[in-house]
Amino acid sequence: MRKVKNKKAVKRLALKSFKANRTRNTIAVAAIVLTAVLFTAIFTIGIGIIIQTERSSMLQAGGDAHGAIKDVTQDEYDILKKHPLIKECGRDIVVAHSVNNKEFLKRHVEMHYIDKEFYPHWFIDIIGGKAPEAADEILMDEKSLQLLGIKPEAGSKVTLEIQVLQQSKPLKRTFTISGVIASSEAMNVGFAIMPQAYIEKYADEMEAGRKDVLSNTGKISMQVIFANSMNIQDKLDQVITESGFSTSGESDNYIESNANWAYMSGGMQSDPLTTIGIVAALLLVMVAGYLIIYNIFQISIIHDIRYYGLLKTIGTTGRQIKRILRMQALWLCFAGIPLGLFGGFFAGKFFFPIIFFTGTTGTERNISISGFLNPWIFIGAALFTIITVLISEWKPGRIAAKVSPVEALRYTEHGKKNKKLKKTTDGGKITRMAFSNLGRSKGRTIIVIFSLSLTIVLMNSVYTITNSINRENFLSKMILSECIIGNAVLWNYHYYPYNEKEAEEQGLSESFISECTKQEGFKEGGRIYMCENVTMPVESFEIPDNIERDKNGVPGEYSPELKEFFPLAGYEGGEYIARLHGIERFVLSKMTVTEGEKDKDIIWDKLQTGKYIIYAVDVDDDNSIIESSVKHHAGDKVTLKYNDKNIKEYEIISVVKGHSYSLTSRMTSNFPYYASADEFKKNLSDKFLMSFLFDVKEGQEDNIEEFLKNYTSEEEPLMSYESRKTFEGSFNEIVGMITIVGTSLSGMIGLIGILNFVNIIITSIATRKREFAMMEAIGMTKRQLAGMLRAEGIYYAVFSIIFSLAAGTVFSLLALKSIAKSIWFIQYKFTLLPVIIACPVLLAFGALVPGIVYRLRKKESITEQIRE
Amino acid sequence: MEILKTQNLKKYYGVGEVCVKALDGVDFTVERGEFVSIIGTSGSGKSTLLNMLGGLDRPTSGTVIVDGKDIFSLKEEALTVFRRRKIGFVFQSFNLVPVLNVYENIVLPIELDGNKIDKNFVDSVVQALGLKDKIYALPSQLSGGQQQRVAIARALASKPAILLADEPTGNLDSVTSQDVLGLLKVTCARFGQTMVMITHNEEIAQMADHIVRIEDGKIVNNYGEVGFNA
Repeated sequence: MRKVKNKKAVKRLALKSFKANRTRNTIAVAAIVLTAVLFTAIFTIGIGIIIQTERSSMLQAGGDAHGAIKDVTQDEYDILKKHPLIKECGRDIVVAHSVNNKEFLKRHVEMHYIDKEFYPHWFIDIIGGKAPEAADEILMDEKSLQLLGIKPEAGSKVTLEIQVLQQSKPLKRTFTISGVIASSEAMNVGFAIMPQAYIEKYADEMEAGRKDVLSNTGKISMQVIFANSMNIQDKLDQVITESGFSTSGESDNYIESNANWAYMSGGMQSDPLTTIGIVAALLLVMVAGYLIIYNIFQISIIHDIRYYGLLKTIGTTGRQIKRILRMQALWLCFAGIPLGLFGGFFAGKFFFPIIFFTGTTGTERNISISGFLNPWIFIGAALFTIITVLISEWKPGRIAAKVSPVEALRYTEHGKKNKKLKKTTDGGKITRMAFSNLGRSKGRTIIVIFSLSLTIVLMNSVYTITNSINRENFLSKMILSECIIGNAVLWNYHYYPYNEKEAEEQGLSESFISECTKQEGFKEGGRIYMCENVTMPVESFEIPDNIERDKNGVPGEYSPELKEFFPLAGYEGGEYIARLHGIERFVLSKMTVTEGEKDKDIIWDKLQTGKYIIYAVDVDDDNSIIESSVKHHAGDKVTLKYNDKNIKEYEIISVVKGHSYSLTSRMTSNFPYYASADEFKKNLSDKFLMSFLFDVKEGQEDNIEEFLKNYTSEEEPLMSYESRKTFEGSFNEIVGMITIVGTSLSGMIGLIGILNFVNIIITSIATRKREFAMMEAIGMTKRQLAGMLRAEGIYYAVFSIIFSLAAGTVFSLLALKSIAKSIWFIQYKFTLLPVIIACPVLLAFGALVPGIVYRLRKKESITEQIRE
Repeated sequence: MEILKTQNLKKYYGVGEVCVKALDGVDFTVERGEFVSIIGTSGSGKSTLLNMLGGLDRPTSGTVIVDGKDIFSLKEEALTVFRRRKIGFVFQSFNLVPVLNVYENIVLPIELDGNKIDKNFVDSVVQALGLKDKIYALPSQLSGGQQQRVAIARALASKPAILLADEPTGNLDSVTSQDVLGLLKVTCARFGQTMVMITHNEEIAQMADHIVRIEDGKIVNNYGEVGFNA
């Protein structure tokens, strides 16, 4: 093909016809803005979720460095840091093996030296004062200082009992607080950060630590940041080998390294549900955007078809016409996208916390929403919008490009010659005529009906889901009593003490319980003790046939979450780990007995004899028993071995339904048993106090909630609690989230649908101007014309309603029902209420819009209109 | 008996220097049952005159009296209703409703009026115009001549006081033109229909009982024919 300099001419043509299409441009820009808003909002939320997930894993991992090269000397560090792959690096040196102040028994404090420039990467956030400089200055976290009873502010003195090496004697050193840092929300650990002067002053201690394999003291951990977070381990290895060291453990100059796991696990892969949700939302927006933008272009091109025919006649090629249209589409994008990005970003920022933090309680919420201005949000949203616009423009562009110059002059929307005769004689009735008009462009009519229905079906789905949420199911699944208190670790799934010392760190304090019982609103409560240092000899338990087996016939349990089969195996010496609980009477009253003795009083009497225990079966999300994991029945004999020596046999008096949140440590066990508290304490210890369940007098819920909140934040910050009240809060939040997100999404899609409808009406009135004038000439009054248009609008509404009813029913029964089934607190209830509510709105809308548009049109005399 | 009468009819577009006098004082009358053709070059004002006669456009001054009624004394809606009862139009571009079949198009003005259709009359009009076997066809299935015949049938079906035809053969080839005009004339005569037709074609104009020549918005009478006051 010859190269022709026609760019200018084509551009001029595009610009001229662009300017002539003012109405189309306005509607198209509005549609593009809406589409871009939706895309941006989705991208903001999606990227926000990735960032936050990563950040919260990093908070747990301790920092956002890509990886660490471990245990290097200062010389090695200086060599390694020159490697070109490294963008940034810093030293982290542990300066003490432990800090032994007794206040830190439950919440340890780590003492580090960290390069000052690297503070931000360690999330060291100085909330008061400044970084330490002199050897006797120190940065400490707020909570640690509170535990010591020291006012968390610069200038305070703090004395720490430092044990430098594992074997060394603790030393007392007093420091001046130079600054206070925020406590880590993700880790139950405190930090003391020392300055360069400290490691210089105590260089001998560091040196000693470096030589001691048992201590971490003095060892430099090199924190590394690369240009990006891809293939971190490979890059670490490359840095090490190319700097002349080895990554092989046998080698003399071996250097160990590891990537920050936060970068391995975070992100989208770990959460398929979010990924699916976001992809579905993107598709939905794309469809909605396509429906309208396609329609706008289609209409405008049909309208201007003679113009394109003319262009063809004078020698414009199809390719050039396509280019003209593509240019116009892109101009419209440039006009619409910036506004959409702007609006969408704020919409996304508004919705993000609602979506992300819903259902979570406590600490996670405090993560600051920073780093939100991610360029990918805007690049992604803009790209998706442009793609949607170009896809929408593609087919109309082809029509314009393919038009034959001769035919264009005769082109009407009746592209296909109608072969069928119309055997009616009453088509002249206004309503019949309106009906026939709908059929003039079936494709367009279908698109309008479809886009209006999309909104209604979406709204119906949101309502069906929120309406199906079962409050009582949700609450009783989360909590059995009004309140439950325990050590904060219980909620981090960290309560599994094996000895009394661990139990002291992980257990609930008696002081908290007694404060609770002193409250006016306190009604009744009961303790749960729990310990897993109890075993069951393998030979004493015969695995029943109902237990799930893998393909080799090995009994065990398949975990759908981990996609792994866990064989029911004895622990080392051929014993099963059992989990024994000791309960007080109140706890028994909260249990649901499924088998054996039903009378709670009789059960209690038997438990107290010390000869009987209760066995709890696993239940699924719907609270029905998982038969394949039932290991005992009432009457079975169970042999338990305490502390590896004392063996005792019990009979199972009853079987109850397990409840991982309220009756045990939030994790399931293969062999959960419940003895009376006294029996438990007799055989183990009263130190294994896991939780305390209690009910509250009616009307006192708010007071108790207030008390628990204050007590756990001020008196005993290591303790925590949960109550029906908090769950009611998060329950309402979940319902609120689904409602807000669903309603706004369907609102936006609805807006697109309405815009589409208005566009159709405007263009149908504009393109049929001549026809209307002729109708007036032969005697159709303006009122009759308006009536016909109104009838057309009502037909759109009626068809949309019929379609919504059908599609809503089908979608509800097929998709929503199965979605509801997969979410345990949703009990599917069929409803079409929103569709029914939408009916009058849609009808009013269909009846009003055409009339308004008709009245607003340019006033021209009939002759002027006919002449066009 | 006069069925149509104009008095000092004027239509000016614009003012002052740029004032265009499309009609500049037109007086003429048409008797019941007459076939009058208005002839003039393009820009002579003939279309403007026809639009005034049909009440499609309002004059700057002067009156049009149809069947004894000053049509511009009527309000917009009333004028439309008057038009569909008293005036039948045939346009150059047939202007049929694309979604209605032939029969429905023909009876549309009657139906719009909410009147009962005089089936015998409509049938005879359809018969006379040779559309009998086409009544269920859609406009897109017809030839140009057939479409124009439908337009004529539609104009006649409501038994108007007067039928106005604006270049009815403008879009047709010469053979079809003769056919359509012949039919138009015969049908009008048969139903006693008054008709005013505008054209720029001398030959076609000659078919009329009388010819009105219009130039620069004024009537000029070259032939000195009797029957109207020039």
